[in-house]
This record gives sequence, structure tokens and C-alpha cells, in this order.
Amino acid sequence: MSPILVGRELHKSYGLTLALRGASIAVNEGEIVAVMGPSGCGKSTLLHCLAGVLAPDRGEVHFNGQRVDLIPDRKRVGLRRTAFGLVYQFGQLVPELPAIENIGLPLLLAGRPRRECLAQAGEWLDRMGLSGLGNRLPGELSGGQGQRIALARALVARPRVVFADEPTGSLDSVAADQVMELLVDTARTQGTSVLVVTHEPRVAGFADRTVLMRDGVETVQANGAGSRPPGVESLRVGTGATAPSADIISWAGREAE
Amino acid sequence: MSRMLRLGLRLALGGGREGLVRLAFMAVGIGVGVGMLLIALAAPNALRGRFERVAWQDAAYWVHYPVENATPAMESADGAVFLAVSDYYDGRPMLRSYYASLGDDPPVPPGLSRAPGPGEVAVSPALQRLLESTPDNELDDRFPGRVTLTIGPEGLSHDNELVGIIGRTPDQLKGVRSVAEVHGFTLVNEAIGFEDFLAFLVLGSAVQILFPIVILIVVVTRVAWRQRERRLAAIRLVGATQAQISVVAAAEAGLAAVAGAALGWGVYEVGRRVLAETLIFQGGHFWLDDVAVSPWWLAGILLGVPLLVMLTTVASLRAIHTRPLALQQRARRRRLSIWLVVPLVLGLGGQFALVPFQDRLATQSEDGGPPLLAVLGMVLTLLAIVGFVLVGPWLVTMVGRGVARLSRSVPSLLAARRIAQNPQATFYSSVAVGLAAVGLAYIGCTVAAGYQPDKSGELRGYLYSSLRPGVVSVTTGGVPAATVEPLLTEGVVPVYGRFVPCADLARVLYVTCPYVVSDGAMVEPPPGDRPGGTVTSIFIPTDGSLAAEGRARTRAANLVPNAIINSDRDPIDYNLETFFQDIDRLAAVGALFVLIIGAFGLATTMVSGLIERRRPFALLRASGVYLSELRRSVLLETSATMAVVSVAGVGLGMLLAYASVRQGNLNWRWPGPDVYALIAGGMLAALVFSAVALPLLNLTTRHDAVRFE
Repeated sequence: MSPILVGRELHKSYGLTLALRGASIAVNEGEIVAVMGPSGCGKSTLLHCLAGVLAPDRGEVHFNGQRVDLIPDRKRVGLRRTAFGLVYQFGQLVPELPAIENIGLPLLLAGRPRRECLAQAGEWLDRMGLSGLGNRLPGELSGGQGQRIALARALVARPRVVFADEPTGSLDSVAADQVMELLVDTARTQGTSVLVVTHEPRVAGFADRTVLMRDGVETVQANGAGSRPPGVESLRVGTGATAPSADIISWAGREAE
Repeated sequence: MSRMLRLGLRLALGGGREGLVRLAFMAVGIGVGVGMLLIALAAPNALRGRFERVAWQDAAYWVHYPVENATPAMESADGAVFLAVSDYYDGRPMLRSYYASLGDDPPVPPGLSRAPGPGEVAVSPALQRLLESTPDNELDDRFPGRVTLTIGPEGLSHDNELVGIIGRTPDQLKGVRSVAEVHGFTLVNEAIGFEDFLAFLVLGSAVQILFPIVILIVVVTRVAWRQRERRLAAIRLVGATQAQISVVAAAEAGLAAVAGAALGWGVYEVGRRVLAETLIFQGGHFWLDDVAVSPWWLAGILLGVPLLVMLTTVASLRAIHTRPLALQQRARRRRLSIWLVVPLVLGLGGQFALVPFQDRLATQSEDGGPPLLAVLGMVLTLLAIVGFVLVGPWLVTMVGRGVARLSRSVPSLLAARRIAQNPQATFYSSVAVGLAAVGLAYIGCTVAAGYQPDKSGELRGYLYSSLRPGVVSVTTGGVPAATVEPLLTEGVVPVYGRFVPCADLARVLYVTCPYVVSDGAMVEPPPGDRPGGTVTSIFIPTDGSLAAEGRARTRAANLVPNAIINSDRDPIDYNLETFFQDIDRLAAVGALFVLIIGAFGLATTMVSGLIERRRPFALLRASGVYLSELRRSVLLETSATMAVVSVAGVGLGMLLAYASVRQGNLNWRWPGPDVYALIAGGMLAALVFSAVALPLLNLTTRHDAVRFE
């Protein structure tokens, strides 16, 4: 299977702080990949470089055979608009828009008729188990409900890749499992690739493959259980290179081809 | 306490570049507000100063027509004989006065170091210049004597005023009509009649300007309040008491407010100088000393505003309380109620209800104050404006909801929902521009209706209003024919009492014979009867040159000092015309003030909104929303609100003006395109100014805002 998204030898620094030091990763079509690592190891920076939010200082990002890091910012924005979906830990919903309009936002951005956008957003509300909450404002929703709305917004335009940065970071374990199950199920149904950044092994347990990062570089790649039932620890993460699970398939490779 | 105060100051100053920028922004906003407040409060003083400086010119008038509290104060037991007469030179108004002391200690007109003696002339600097540049028989001879004194600013309404005081002996003024014995030149009451009304109008306008200023200061102090209160909550969570965080909050806000007040003082000092040097009112600039607030007011504002800012900051903290990791609003937002419309309906309805009673209410009060109609009108106008401010948020909510339902694009949807969800903040951002629109529309309509010069050419009681070119009219008030004998040369038309042949009159006035005059001012003499006796008016035809007219005027003034002399060169409707021009100019300056405040209000709200929505906007950008789309949304949010509020303001201003016009028994006229252009231009200028905040959108919504706030 050929990868849809590839990052090669990515370097990125913020002033004197080196966030990425030659990180490489590949995500196959329809694959769910988790990126784990301690705080400050560069996993969010990696996600943002891959999604085209940040331009790497060095290295290459390919999406569907196209060099993302070389195209102008406006085109990268266009790519995020049409081919990518993003989910964050919190605060991504527009506070003034009711839930249904928040979900329909990507469709409106794509220039689809308003009525159609809202109808489709309504379907996603049902699919997320949030029927009847369409007119609620983000401030009137619980954390879990808000994340499901964010998830629906990221998926409604049927993106090729969903980038999720700590999508369950502010949720309890039950709500976190609900969100991850919805993400994984929908991605599998739509054939969407998912790159999820997390520091929770429980979340990584939903992924097909887990990449461990430390000090700005990926160190270990491991097969995950893929939709493994919640509660079963799939991968114990130590400090980078000491991943002890039998699921580990390769060491120190800069790429997993 | 002092430790918390120090902590508050450290938090305010140690918040990094962003914190300092926020502090500076607040200080600038408060500075503009304080500066404008001081200038607005100085406006009535400027007007009062203008009238008080020249009140001495009416000293003789108030002796003849005494009104309680309006007679000159007793300054001298000896007294002086005094007369002041309006005159013109080449269309410029001029005051020619006569003075004769009645003893060793006479009252001295303001602006003079001593009283002019017989044969001496005191002149204003502008008249001095004019005298030096004109032939003696055209102007100088109207001020017979030697110029020995210069009238200072204390006795002049402005530096361009033409005033001359001719020193005479009491005997020389004996028998001259309208002279009066005065014992002082300082009038007790502050402003009289027409001037009082004008001062009342300016005071009312100043009150209207106060609204947006107060709103601006409140809005500015609320910039990034959520971030600040989150920080305070963190301090509260580690054990600080409510009182301690109040001190911290007050110290932070107080620092910006003190800096703002100091800046405001500077704005005021610069602003009043600019106004004194540029604004022309009734033919001249204001004196700088008059464009000022009293030291007590200045101290009160400079100390009061920071104190008020600190108190409101502490008071706003009472409405929130801290929970672990979060803040909670103690009180829900006030719901928009139908009762909010009551002041608007009362104010507007009251104005229209006054129309049938205008005759009874329009008479001036006995103490010389403004008529009851004017007082009620002002109160009801202010009530309507308060109503406008109260109803505004409801209006923008409705508009926001409507636009949101129809939105087809993301920018318009974001803007409309923001307006609908946050009506108070969005309305208050535009309220100053809206109030400027109310004022401009009101003034524009009333001026258009009020200034309707009569060009019909019909004979009216005021004969000089229909003079033919080159004719000099001398209204004597009634003098023996012998007194004016030198003027009665070939071609001159005298009016004996009320008698004048129409055929003669038609040579000097635009009049159709036989004339019918409703007020009976002129009567055709009986056939064959030769008129004689007292001469009330004389019409002297000239070749129309300034020199010839000047000579005729000078001869007439020397023979009949109290005569009112005119030609068609004089602005016949001078008072009415300049009154409306001045009102127009004052309104434009007032509107400019409000627009400056409005522009700052818009910019402040825009900045505040950007800081507040930094993370959602950054995440939208990360999710594929173009910066241009966000920019469009923010601009739309501002401009749509401003447009709605301004249109509503124009509507309210026109309705109020219509009621005023009907109250004044005038015909309604729509204002010219210049009024609409001024309003639209002002709105555009405010919007362009507020757009300076737009680069902040790019800065605040960059990648780092995705993860950190």
C-alpha cells in the first residue's frame, strides 16, 4: 500500500528551541497512526508540518505525491480546506455559531448551498449521537459533546486525512473512548487516514500503528491493536527508545516504507 | 495591601511585550476619552467666554431695557455716557461706540487700561489695521479723534473683531438718541437671550458627546478582561482573598488609567489650541483662554477618571467568582426587554406632542432664560437618545439574526452570528458613530428648514432688506430734518415720519407701486401735501463703489451717531445666515469629535474581539479558512453594525428635526446631499481608522495561537 502522506527528515525550530530534528513518518491511505511521546518532544509540531500549518525549516512533506512544503501558503490553506480535517484538544469551535453551523462550516467554505450544508450537518449530528443539540452554542455543550461536534466538523467534508492533536486531552476516559470510537469508525467507513497525536496509551490503542517520538525525532514504530477494545493497554511508553512491547516492529528507522 | 499593589503593578508591567502593548492600548484609549471629555466640557466655556467678553457692548441697551439680573454691575459712582452702534465696512460687521466719562472715576470698558478722554479713540487691533489701509473719508472719519488706546482681548469676542470707542464730552452726546448713563460694564448674568439659547444648545451637545466618551473608556478598560481575570482567578486559587485580588486588579487598571489621564491632558492641551486657532465662529477664532475648563474641573477629571476606572474594575470583579480552573459569571447577561423602548417612545412622542403647544411654550422666560419649549425639547431629545442607546443592542440582534439566516458565505455567517450573540459589545462599538449620525442629521435638517432666505423682494418692515445696489440707507430713529440737512442732496430719498412717495421709494428699493404694507410702516403722502418734520430714514443713492458708500456712511454716522446704516453690500440676513453657518460649523466639529471617539471605539472593540477570539480564529485558519476571509468577517461585523446603527441614527435625527421644525412653524426641507455625504464620509473615515487594528488579526491568529493563548 502506498503512503498518502509522507514526511522526510523534517527539521523545525522556534528560535533557539529545536522542535524537530530530522523526523520522518509515512501514513498509508485509510491507516490510523498515533504519534506518542513526552511533552515537548515535537509531536504537535510534526503534525502541523504534515498538515501544512507550519512550513518545516528543512525536509519534505508529500501529500498524494505533491510537495506540500514547497507550495505557497494560500495553496496549503486550500489543501487543508479540501483534503484535511483538523481536531484539537479544545477551543476549536467558533463560540458564536450554534453546533449545526459549526459542523457545516467546511461545507460552506467549499461553497455548497447553505440548505444542503445544514442538512448534511444535521446528519452528522445524528451520527455523533447529538440529535436535538444543533442549536446549542459551544458554551452550552459538555466537553465530550463539544469534541464530537469538532470531530463531525473535521469529517463532514470527507477529507483524505484527519489530523487530531490530543483530541481527548480534556475529556474523561469514557468520553475519550466515545470520541475515539467515533473517529476510528468514521475514518474506516470513509477510508480516511488519521494521524492522532496523543500522550495517552489508551488513545494510541485505537491506532493501527504507533510512532514514538523523543527530542524531535521519531524513535520507535510499533503496530497497534487497531480498534482494540478500550481498557486493554496496547503499548507501554517509556521515555522514547525503551518501548518494551512485543508489538514493536522496527527500530530506529527514519522511515517505515 | 502594598504587597498586592506591587504585585498588580508587576503583573501589568511584566506581562511581556503583549502585556505592555495591551497597557499602552488602554492608556491611549483612556487618553483619547479624557482628552475629548475635557474639550467637550470646554466648549460651553468657550461660548460663554465669547459672549462675556463683548457683553459690555450692550451696557446701554440693558439700561434702557432692564431685565432682572441682566443690568451691569455698579463699578463706578461717577458713571459714563455710552452708546454702541452696529456698523459695517465692506460687508464686515463693526462696532462703533461713543463714550463720555462723567467724573474722575468712570467705569472703564473691558480691554482698556483707562477710559478714553474726549478726542481720543480706542480701537481693536483689527480695526487699527483697517484704518491704516483705508482713506480717511471712507472710514477713519467715522472715528473722529486720535487713536491713543488699543482694546485688548478682554473686550473683544475674537482677534478679528472691528471695534472702536470714540471718546467724547458729555455735552457732545447730549441729545443723541439711545445713549445711556452706565455705571459699569460687567454684566451680572452670564449669558442673555439668544446667546443663552446657543450656550444651552452647546451644553446639550456636550452632554450627547459624553455618552460615547464614557462608553469608549468602559470598552477600553475591558480589553482582554477575560485573560486578566483568568490570571486573577489563578491568584485567587492559591489563597488570595477577594479584597486582595481587587487591589491587584485596581492597580493594573489604575496604572493604565493614570497614564491615560496624563495623555488625555496632553490631548486636551493640544486639542484646545488647535480648536482656538482653526475654528471660526461668528466671524472669528476663539481666545485660547476661553477654550478651557476650570482648574477644578481639570483636576476633578484627571483624578476622577482613574478613580472611576479602578472602581468599575473592582465592581466588575464582583460579578464573577472563581472555580477551580475557571471563572464563572455570577450574573447572567441582561435580557433585552420590550421596556427598553419606553424612553425612545417617550422622547420622540413627547417632541411631536409639543407641536400643538408651540405658541404657548415658545415665549422667552421672564429671567431671560431659554423658552420652555427649548428646555422641554432638549430634555426630550436627550431622552430619545438615551432610548436609542438602550434599544440599539436589540436592533443589532435582530439584524444579526436576520443576516445569519440568509448568510451564504462563511465571513458573513461569522459576522452575523457574532453580532447576534454579542449585541451589547457590537452596538457599543458603533454607538458613537450612530450618535454622530443623529446629530448631523438633526442639524442638517433643522438648518435646511430654518435657513430659508426671503428673496421675494416684497416690501417688509425692514426697508434695508430690499435695497437697490449702491443705495445707503440711514435709519435714524427720528431726528429733526435740520440735523440731516447736509445729507439731503439731489436724488436722496428721505422718509418723513411714515410718509414717502412710492415713486421715490421705488428708485432706491425693490418695490412695486402702489405699495401695500401690512404693518403700515410706510404711507403714501396725501396728494399736494409737502411732507416735513422728523426724518426717520434716508436713502442715499451712490455709484455703488465701496469708496462712495464709505463716504456716505461716514457722513451719516457723524451727523447721526445712533443711526443704523446699511447697503446691499452688507449681509442683510447676516445674523440668520451666520447663525446657521456657525451652527453648521459647530455641528461639524462636534460630529468630528464624536467620530474620533467612534473610530477609537470601533478599533478598541475590534482589538478586543480579536484577542478574545484568538484561538478559534487561529484554529479556523489552521483548518483552511483564508486570512482574507477572517478579515472580511471582522470588517463586515464592524461595518454592518455601524451601517445599521448609523441609518437608525439618521432616522432618529430626522424625526427629531421634523418635530423641531414643526415646533418652530417652519417648512420642512430635506437636507442637501452634503449632509448625507458628510455622514457617509464620517462613517467611512471611522471604519478606515478602525482598520488599523486589522494587521493584528494576522499576528494574533498565527500558528502559536493554535496551541497557546
